[in-house]
Amino acid sequence: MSTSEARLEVRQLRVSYPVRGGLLRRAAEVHAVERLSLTVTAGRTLGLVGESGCGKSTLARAIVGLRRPTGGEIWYAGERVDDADAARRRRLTTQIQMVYQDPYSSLNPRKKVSFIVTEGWRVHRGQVPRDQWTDRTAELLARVGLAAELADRYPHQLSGGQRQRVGIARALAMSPRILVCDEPVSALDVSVQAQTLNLLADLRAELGLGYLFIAHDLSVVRHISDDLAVMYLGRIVETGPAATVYGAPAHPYTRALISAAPVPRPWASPPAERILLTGEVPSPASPPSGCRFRTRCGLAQPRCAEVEPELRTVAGREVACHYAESSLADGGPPVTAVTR
Amino acid sequence: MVAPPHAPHPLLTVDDLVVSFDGPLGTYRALNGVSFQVGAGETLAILGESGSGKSVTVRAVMALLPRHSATIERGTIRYDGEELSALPVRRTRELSATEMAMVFQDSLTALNPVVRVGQQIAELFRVRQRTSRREAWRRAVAGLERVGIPNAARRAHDYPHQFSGGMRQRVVIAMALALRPRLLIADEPTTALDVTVQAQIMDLLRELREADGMAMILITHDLGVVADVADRVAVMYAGTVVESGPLRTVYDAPAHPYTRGLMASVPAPDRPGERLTPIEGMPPSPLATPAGCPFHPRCPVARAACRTDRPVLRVVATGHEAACHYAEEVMAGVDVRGAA
Ligand SMILES: Nc1ncnc2c1ncn2[C@@H]1O[C@H](COP(=O)(O)OP(=O)(O)OP(=O)(O)O)[C@@H](O)[C@H]1O
Ligand code: SF4
Ligand SMILES: [Mg+2]
Repeated sequence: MSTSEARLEVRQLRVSYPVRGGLLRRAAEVHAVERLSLTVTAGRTLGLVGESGCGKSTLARAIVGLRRPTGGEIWYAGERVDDADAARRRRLTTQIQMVYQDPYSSLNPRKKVSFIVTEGWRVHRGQVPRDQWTDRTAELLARVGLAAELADRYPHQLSGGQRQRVGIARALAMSPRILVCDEPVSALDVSVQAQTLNLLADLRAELGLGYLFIAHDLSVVRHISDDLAVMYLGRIVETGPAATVYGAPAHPYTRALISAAPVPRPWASPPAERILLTGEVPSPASPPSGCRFRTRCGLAQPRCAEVEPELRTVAGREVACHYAESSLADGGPPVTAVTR
Repeated sequence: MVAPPHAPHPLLTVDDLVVSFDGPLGTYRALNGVSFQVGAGETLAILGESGSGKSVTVRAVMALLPRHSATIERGTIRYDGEELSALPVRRTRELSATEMAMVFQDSLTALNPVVRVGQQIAELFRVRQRTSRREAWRRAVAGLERVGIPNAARRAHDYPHQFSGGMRQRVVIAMALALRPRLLIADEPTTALDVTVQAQIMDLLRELREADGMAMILITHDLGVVADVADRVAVMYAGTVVESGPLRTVYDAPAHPYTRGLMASVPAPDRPGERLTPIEGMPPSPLATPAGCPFHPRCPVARAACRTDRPVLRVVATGHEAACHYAEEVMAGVDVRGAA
């Protein structure tokens, strides 16, 4: 398969959870992901940022087939994945693998590293012939920078960074083209996080992998991403080339997010605008009408409560805000925006 | 250790603190000679990777170490001229209830789930200041207002689970500040929160600190958060303080190779994608701290002496201390990798 075909496309995806309650105790639905579209191509990284509960992990789980979408489509390499029959789906999804946030709970504590890494080969028979397992395991461990002896250890005998490498080796075992990384370095200390980020960058270059890199740490996402998507309450509010979005954010939420992210050496860069958002993310069970961000937005106007803004192209990126132009120009009327 | 000239009357002085734990694998030292000072009204950030001993240090100060398994083997803790380690735990607890207060990462565990939050704060006034019920409640509501809880008079009747994460952390801060402590210890107060909420809480802490002229010890692993609020920084590694000094000095001209490595591990916002230079290897297990300098197996500058002689914290410039045999070279910016 050529690199250009290894393309993951999510179209108007919706993922819902049933919730019970409400006045009449009727079953209701929470749309954790709502009409969300994105594309991940081999060799490139799409960074996805957003606050906790905005639906990042639900999206990741839907993409790798751990959660059934309730609307929209997922395509991979020109074939629709989400409605494929089990066998075809399994074949397609081996090429999309996931790396989890928590290297502690995502590995079976009772199995040795050698078993964990080869697990996929047990499920997908024929992927790698049995007599090659030992050699291939050694190769994979070497590739992620782990000593061969570690194959005989149990997860609790490894450090957090080593465990995360085992998680990456396990994903690589299936020879994927796309890796969905859900907060892959959030649980790691700074120095080990840097080692892991370098490893991911090397693998992308050597194997031509495409990443969907989900994180809440903007500096990490900025570092590794070619493109950026910002998510708020189940929807993408801004997406485009990382340098464009990060350099001149157009959505008021993106601006707030960037301004809130602590910078290691604030004195080394020009004083940045500081926007303090009031309040916290509303419950996805009852998102605000119109624009979902309006309850925390300093630019909100009556129209924002009535009409939900759709993504549209503004200055080289897509943004879902009625007032993106004025937000981009000067921040618009600073109502609750506090600049220090 | 000589008090630096800029802090003539340190509020808190910790000197050569050694703490060991009895664990299933034997006795091990979690702290191996920790020394630092906090001046009145000053904010000291303690930086360090997971397991380096940050929490044990402040728990020792607050007399919160588990009595059955932890032993203070050596060292002194002086608060405002009084030696705490010589006082009965009860007196320390008393001090730590009125003079010093602590905010933890997890706001849920800091609050009693079955008591209304107003009651929990009012209790402090009743017990410590013997105020009437009515007056205690009035002050509790005022305290909640002060930390920015909307509708404080009504919300005071709510239970902890009825608050969002950010609001709950505000409640915890209101409780910590109720008796107007002179020293606030905050152990990862925002790690569990989203960035936009983290920014709100850090702003609140900064404001309250300035209003009350309170000193603060802030524990965090986020270099950006430190840069935002700290006057001085102490860097911990393997149970000791390896460097301390004014914020910008430590960040821009570190004197310890570990600090230098830490700074190089963080993605620079203005150079996305640039290869990071992580510290090689992993922090040592407390069960097997290396002889000589605890950092030597990972240190790019290490020479023969580092494997045998343990460097002590020493003054390398005014107000700047480091525990490295070659601190002067590191400070001078000698290419540490080339020097190995
Ligand atoms: N109650 C305890 N019993 C036994 N060992 C402990 C206890 N508390 C801490 N330790 C050990 O003491 C060492 C220092 O731990 P500490 O919690 O101070 O680290 P830390 O720097 O706060 O890390 P983190 O960033 O993960 O919070 C660790 O090796 C830890 O396992
Ligand atoms: S004392 Fe030696 S090993 Fe330790 S930090 Fe300094 S140069 Fe490195
Ligand atoms: Mg801790």
